[in-house]
Amino acid sequence: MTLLQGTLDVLILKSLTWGPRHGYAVAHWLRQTTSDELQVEDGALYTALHRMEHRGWLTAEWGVNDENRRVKLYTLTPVGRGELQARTASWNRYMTAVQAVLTTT
Amino acid sequence: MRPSDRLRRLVRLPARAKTIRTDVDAEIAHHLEQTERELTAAGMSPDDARREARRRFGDVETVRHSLRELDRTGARREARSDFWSGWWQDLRRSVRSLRREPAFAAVVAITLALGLGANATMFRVLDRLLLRPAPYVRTDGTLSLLYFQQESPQFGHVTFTSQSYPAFEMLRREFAPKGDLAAWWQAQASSGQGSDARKLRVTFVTPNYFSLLGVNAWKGRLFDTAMWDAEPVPSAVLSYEYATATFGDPSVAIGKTVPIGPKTYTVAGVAPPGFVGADLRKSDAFVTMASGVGATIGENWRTTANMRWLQIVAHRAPNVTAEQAGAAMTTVLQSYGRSHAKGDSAVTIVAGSIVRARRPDGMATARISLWLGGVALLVLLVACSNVANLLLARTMRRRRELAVHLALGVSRARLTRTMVTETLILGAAGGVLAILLSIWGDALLRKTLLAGIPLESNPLDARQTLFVTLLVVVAALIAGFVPALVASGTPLVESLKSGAREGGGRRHALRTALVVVQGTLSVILLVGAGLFVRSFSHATSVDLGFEPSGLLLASPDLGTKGSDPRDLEERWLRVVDEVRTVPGVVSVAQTVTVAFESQMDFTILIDGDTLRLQKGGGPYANGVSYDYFRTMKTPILRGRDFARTDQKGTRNVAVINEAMAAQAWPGRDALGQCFNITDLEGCLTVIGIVPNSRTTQLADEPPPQLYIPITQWHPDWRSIMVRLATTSDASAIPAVRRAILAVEPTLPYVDVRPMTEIVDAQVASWKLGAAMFTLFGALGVIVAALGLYSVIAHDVTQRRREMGVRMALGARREDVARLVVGSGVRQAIAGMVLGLVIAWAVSTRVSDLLFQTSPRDPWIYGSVVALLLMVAILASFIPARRASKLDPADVLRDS
Repeated sequence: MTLLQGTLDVLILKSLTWGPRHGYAVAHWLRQTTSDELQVEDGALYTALHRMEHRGWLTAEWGVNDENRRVKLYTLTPVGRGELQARTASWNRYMTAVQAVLTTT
Repeated sequence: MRPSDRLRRLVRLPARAKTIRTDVDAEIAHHLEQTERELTAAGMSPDDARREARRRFGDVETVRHSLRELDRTGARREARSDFWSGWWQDLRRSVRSLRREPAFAAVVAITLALGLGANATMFRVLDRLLLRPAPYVRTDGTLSLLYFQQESPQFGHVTFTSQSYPAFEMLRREFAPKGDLAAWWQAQASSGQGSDARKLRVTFVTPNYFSLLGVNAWKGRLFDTAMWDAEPVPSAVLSYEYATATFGDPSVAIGKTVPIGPKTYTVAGVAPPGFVGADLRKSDAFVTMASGVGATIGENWRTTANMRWLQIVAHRAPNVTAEQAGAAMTTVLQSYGRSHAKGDSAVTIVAGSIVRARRPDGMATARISLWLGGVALLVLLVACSNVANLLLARTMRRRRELAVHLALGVSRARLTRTMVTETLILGAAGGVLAILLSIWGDALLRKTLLAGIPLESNPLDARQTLFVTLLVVVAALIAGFVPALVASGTPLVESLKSGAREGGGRRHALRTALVVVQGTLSVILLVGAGLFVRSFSHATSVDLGFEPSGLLLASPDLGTKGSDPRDLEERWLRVVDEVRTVPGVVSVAQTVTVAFESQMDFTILIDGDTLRLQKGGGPYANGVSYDYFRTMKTPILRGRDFARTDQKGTRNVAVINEAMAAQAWPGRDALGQCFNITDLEGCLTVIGIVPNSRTTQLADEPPPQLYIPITQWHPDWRSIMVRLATTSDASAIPAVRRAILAVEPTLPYVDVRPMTEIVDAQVASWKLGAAMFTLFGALGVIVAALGLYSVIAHDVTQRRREMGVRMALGARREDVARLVVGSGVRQAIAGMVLGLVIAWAVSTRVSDLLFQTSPRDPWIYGSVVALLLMVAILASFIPARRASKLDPADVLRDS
């Protein structure tokens, strides 16, 4: 299953609601949560992360992981959180509408 | 979040372009590695894992490229917004850090304020004097004041500003298609008679004067051109200030009557407040020439071609340049001169700037003011280098703090900016102080030195404020740039490592260089001050040939009309006798001309030959009464004074000065010689010789002069010289006026002035130069001394350890003190040598502004060196004392 346009952003934002994560962790979480159903190229994920960082939805900081390696950690900003809520709401409305059409008998 | 992350956020780690590449690489590498590890853990072979990780990622190179691109644009945008929010941060941080060191901030702000204040004040003067036309006068560049230039055998190349009325009329008529001309003449007039009379500055104008200058009435109406030939009801325009002083409320003045001279005028309008004509001279009232100038200078003023009295302003048509106008008018004037007035046939007209101080032959006050403007800039430079020095010292104190900033990732550029911001804040504080200072300075200047120049009265001038703001930025950059560079160049590791040892050799050299610069500038300032002070003292102590203090000049206008000369002689004698009875009056005499105010020349015949006119003017003639020389305190060198018996009918006699004796009878005894002058019949015998007097201009050599007894000549116009027993004239002036009015109660305003007032006007430009140069020089030296002190003091603190070691090894306290003072004096001497060389080279440029003073007067240079050496020793003495009181044991234990 390929991803609908624009939904990757919401998924990433959602993944960061549990706290700062690096890119690999986001990818890993996505894959696990969707049980590998969604086909997302990891490269696209990073493009989205960087784009949202510069838009101010995320902030990025270099930290050190347990193995003492430099990793880039992404954190949701208040703006990003607001964006997530707005997109979730509109996604739900969209879903309800599509559902209504599809369940019409 | 880890503590280190929090720290990074705290100091706002900026994104840097060069790290973007490695960051992106690291992020991708990390991701691929983690994926591979995960896949291998799940049982894949390492090769398969690598391939699978890359497949899942997509095209690594494309992604890498687009991520870098994204980050770069992002970083640029952030840098931009950081820049602006950064300024605000810097500003707040700077204010905080300055508030931690209020003494330092105050010293810097005050130092800058002194420099800026000097400039603010000078700018105001120069702006009014040289940069702008008089207030209310049209500023579109179409106005020109006319100057008349001529080669004269007596005076060389001369520039004069006045012309005769017929020449003006001719010029105006012929110039007509290219523009219009207006003329004016300012004179003293009396308003009213007897003891109620007041002195009035009246400007007689052509009726187009106001409209040509582009000036509108504040209230009422101005003159219209129908009044050119005659004015049936004489009308006057009052100055706003005079109308206010006379009627309380200037708007009620219109329709009121004002006596001016012999006539009564109806006030038609009031000029705008602060209007000072085209040439910055205050007037109380403006009237048309047709209405009354004849009463003052003779009814034939329209036709007299040999009397030059009018100032002329031209309003050129838009397409006519000043050069074209001047050339066109020169042609007209020269052809007019050939047919009517011989004097004008060789005159060149220059249509010069409407700003009087920019007259083609230069104006002493303007030139001195310009020099003072430059001097004010020097003072500011001294202040700037001092501030730079203080900032450098502070930078060194803060080295560790700065190193910590750098270690935390604050960029060096950002550090520079923060430092410059601090200087700008200090500069702004200095600027505000400077404007306050200049308000005070203005008031001072207005009262004392520039009494003749009407500055606008509003204390906050937009142009001045703009100038000061500009100067603040420039000064802050000059003073703050080098320290900021030094700060940003703080060597990181070294500064963090070595706590106790601060201040490297290079910094020290920089601070020394700044002290040297200050020394140089101080020498220049002081030499300038010295030159002007010496000029001023020479000018005030020059032997005038008479004693001006305790001498009064009274000019009662006894009139000439319809009186028998014998009758007039009687009236003058009565006035003189009455004044002689005033308590405190020693002697009284009559004179026709007054030193520095008027001269008269006659053609003099010696043995039938005309005495050649002297270069520099003269011989001049003066008619004086018995007792004149005693009153002036001019000694009779040889021969005798005039006696009461020298009357009409007795032998014609004359007293001459030494210059005339030398010119007319070189190598012979002038006493007893005989000569003729055009106005008197018979020959005049020289009966006495007096010393030379300066009568034309103080700076001019005394001209040849001859004196004739008033009783053998009966001139109409006279003044009275009054010698007082004391030099205080405050009570004598009104007493003399009352005495004159007691015998002549219907006189118009009787002007009684101390002679010192007239002499003071002669020395005004040197006084201005001396006072301001001294003030600025003192400012510069004080600031430079503070600078030297701070460097030496800082030096001593830095070298405490070394001094301690020296003393521990047996150096005496005097040795240490000598070491410190020696280093201060060495720095001062380096600056002085440089300053002396520059002053030596530049000072010749002011030589024509000086009075009997060589621009390379060794005394001045010597005194400046001595003074500065003393200041340098004093400035180093306090730190030296401190150094010599060090206890070697303490110092060595501390460090």
